[in-house]
Amino acid sequence: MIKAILYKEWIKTRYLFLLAAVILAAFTAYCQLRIGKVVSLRGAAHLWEILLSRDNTFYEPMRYVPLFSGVLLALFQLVPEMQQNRLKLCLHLPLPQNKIIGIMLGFGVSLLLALFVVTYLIIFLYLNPILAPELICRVMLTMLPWYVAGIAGYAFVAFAVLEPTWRRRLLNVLAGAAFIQIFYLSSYAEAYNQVIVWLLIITLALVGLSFLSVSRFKDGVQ
Amino acid sequence: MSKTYKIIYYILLTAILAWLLPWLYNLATLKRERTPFALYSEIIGDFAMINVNQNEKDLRYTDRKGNFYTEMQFDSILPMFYYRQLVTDNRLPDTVQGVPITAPKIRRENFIFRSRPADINVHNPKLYPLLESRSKRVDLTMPDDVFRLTKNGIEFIDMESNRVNREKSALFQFVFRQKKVAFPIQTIAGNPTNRKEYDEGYLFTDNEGKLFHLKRMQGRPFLRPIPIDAEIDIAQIWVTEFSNRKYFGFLTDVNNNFYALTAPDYKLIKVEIPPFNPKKENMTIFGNMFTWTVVQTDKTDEILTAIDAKTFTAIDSMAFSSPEKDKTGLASYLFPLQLSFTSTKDKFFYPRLKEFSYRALALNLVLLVVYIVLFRKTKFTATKLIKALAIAVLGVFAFIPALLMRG
Repeated sequence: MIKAILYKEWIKTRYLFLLAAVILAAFTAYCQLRIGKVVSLRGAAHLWEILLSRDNTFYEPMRYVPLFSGVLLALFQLVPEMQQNRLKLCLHLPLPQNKIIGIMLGFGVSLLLALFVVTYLIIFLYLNPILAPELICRVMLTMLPWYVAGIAGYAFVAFAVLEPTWRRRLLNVLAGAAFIQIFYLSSYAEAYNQVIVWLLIITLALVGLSFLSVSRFKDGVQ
Repeated sequence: MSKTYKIIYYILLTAILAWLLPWLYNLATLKRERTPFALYSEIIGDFAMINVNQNEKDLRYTDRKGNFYTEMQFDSILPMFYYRQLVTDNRLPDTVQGVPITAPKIRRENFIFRSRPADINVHNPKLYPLLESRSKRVDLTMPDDVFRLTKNGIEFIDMESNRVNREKSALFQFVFRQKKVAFPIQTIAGNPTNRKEYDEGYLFTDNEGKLFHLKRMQGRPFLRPIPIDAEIDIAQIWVTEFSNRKYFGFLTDVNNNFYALTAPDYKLIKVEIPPFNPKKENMTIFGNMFTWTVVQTDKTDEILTAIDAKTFTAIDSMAFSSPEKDKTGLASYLFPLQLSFTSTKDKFFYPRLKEFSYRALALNLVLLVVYIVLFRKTKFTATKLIKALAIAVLGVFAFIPALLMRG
């Protein structure tokens, strides 16, 4: 049964997964081309100087790409469930309701994490021969909140889409927008170092907010 | 599960409102506050200041005694600051306090030093370029390597190859050992840029609190221990590199005393100003060959001290306090606390709570009564009790989510 649910989720999201992978890869490649251009035109020392003296990481064009991926994934995965109340059928499967929703959300988050981890790994492998570990850490820690924002985007769009009433849906969207905003409040390099682990834990916990929406859906709230 | 998430969502909405409502209030009531621009005048022996009125059009040039000046008179009483205007008008005096002055001499002696908490409270990659300070060229050039300070020594990394330069590292390490530097290094400061007249390298304190001066001279390490009073525990260092070449740097200790490290004799002299905490206060020094006007700004006050540039003793001082900044305002009656994540004092993101305002308890009680009246006909539950308690403490932040989530 679990396999069948996972397959259903894959069918819904496979093209989006591919699209998100292409977008992430394209933006990563673009940023790395910019770095490559600086290195070839001015030398690696110039790149080091910029990273040492400014808050620039060269990956700024990627700021909203993980968020965009998270939002799209949630829409592609969960909007079909809410059309003609298909979620009702899903909830009638011979499995506990929370388990079904947990598998669906877990699938979405895993897909996002896989995309983000691979992108992160590509960036690390690209920077490793060019920069000192201190600078690689600086770049990657500065980018980390953007990736957590991607998971937050997924969590809150899922929360809003699964909600049965428009009034509460609007509230969920506003709460989500406010929560996601905190990942973009500071543009200084490594600004989030002290709290990023907590933000990640809280964001992963908030993925479960959708249980609330599904419970209201099952209760027939109109 | 859904019950737990109901409470989590309620907490989340409360936290969001505790952040956004005070932010919106502050945005709506934001007022530009300006204190007069003031400098110590060697001519009148008093602080001369420019008062700006509300519409920022009417500038009033005055001093503490209440004398008013025209713009031209104001230039004349601050010849060391407005010397360019005086030269243009052919009004620059030949001497000030009996000392002959010329425009190039004033230009060389003048300096402006600035320190902001946001420049100190920041994450910096611990890699330091060490410029060649005895370059045979006029312009300074950036080096092709940087150094890092490890637990046991110093390491140079070539930027092009991203590899440790073992030979250079060993050379510097030898000098560090020779001068008995105790690793790890505690505080280090320098200005690693080639946009300056000359380079003085870095000043640092080692693990035993000893102060050192590190430079690169014709490719060789220059490392000099600086004798300082053993009781002085250095907290913050700035390498100054002013064109007058009179100071290696400024320093503060853990008791917030401010010192100047004079050049070329490496004397650490205490500057007679009020305690200065660089992590919390702004400082600007307008220095000239006679006096320094030291401006220290914290949350509410701006303290100006005129310092004798030769003896570093205080000549005069004054303060501007901003009642507006200290005013608690309507916000303290509306919001029991204020959540924010960023500050102008640092470049970090983390949640910060403003002190709890007991003045908001009255509104909290009113909102609690409204909540009880609105929900009097519904069933009493533990969740409702939690919400009521939250409203009593957190007021409007907890009341609005309670209304929004009543369904």
